[in-house]
Amino acid sequence: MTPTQHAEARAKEPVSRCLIRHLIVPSIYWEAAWPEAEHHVDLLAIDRAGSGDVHIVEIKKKAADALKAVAQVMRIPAQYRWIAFFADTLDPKTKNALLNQRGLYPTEGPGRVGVIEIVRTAADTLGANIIIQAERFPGSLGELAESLKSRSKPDMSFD
Amino acid sequence: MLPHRTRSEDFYRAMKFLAAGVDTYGNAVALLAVHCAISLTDAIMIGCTGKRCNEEDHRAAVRALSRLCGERRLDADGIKHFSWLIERKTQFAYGDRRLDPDKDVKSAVLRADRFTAWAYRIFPEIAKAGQEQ
Repeated sequence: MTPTQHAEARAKEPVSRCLIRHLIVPSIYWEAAWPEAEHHVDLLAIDRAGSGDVHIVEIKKKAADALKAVAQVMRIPAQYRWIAFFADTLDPKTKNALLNQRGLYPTEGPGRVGVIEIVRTAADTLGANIIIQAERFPGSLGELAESLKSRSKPDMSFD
Repeated sequence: MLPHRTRSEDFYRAMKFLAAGVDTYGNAVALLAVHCAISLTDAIMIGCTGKRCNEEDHRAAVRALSRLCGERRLDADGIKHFSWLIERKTQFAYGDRRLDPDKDVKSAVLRADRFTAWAYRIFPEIAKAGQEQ
């Protein structure tokens, strides 16, 4: 595992905790096979114990890579879509692009990709905070969610 | 039904928000946990039967929810968390004893978490109601 892969793997837990603070008892899957078994997303959360809206998160160590991943995130079915990156990798160009926000919107229709920053304390403990709130994309994903639940167990849940 | 679910989720979010300061807001957190569960039970009862339990003694709501699960042959395991919260409602609201941050407050949050998760798993129609497509 490279240092980048290790950082991105470690980030799953704080990003999950961040979503747990904002959702109602979500079921959270890491490396979820979504939307089909042959594709994976870094993190997927289904609100209301697996019966609510689907949130997906693409986690990158570098902010610039996370911003580049927005195009890919736009193609993944989910009511809420997020990118996450380590705050200490945010360069001026990426910061400007995030402030501008234009790239976070789809070319048509409602929705906005949300942004989560991962922060590191002095003791190298990781935390995560929402810096741009995601807005809801349209779509009914009940069948896909049921299919996921039938083939995998959540990594974090409240049962 | 939706106003009751919304009320439950408002209580839930407030509980989670305040739970970070358990030493300062412990009494409020414990009571929010109880009210989150009561409102969610109201939402379930209205969603499933058209009416909620109006008795002042909330133990009647526990019995009504148990009866509903029995009639529909549903897993009733989560009701024990609701029952735990109801048994402590008076103590949390008016009791003379100071609440213990772990035994009372954190347990109340855990029970509210588990009851909410159970309720949405067993009654997905309550979780899905009002979702835009």
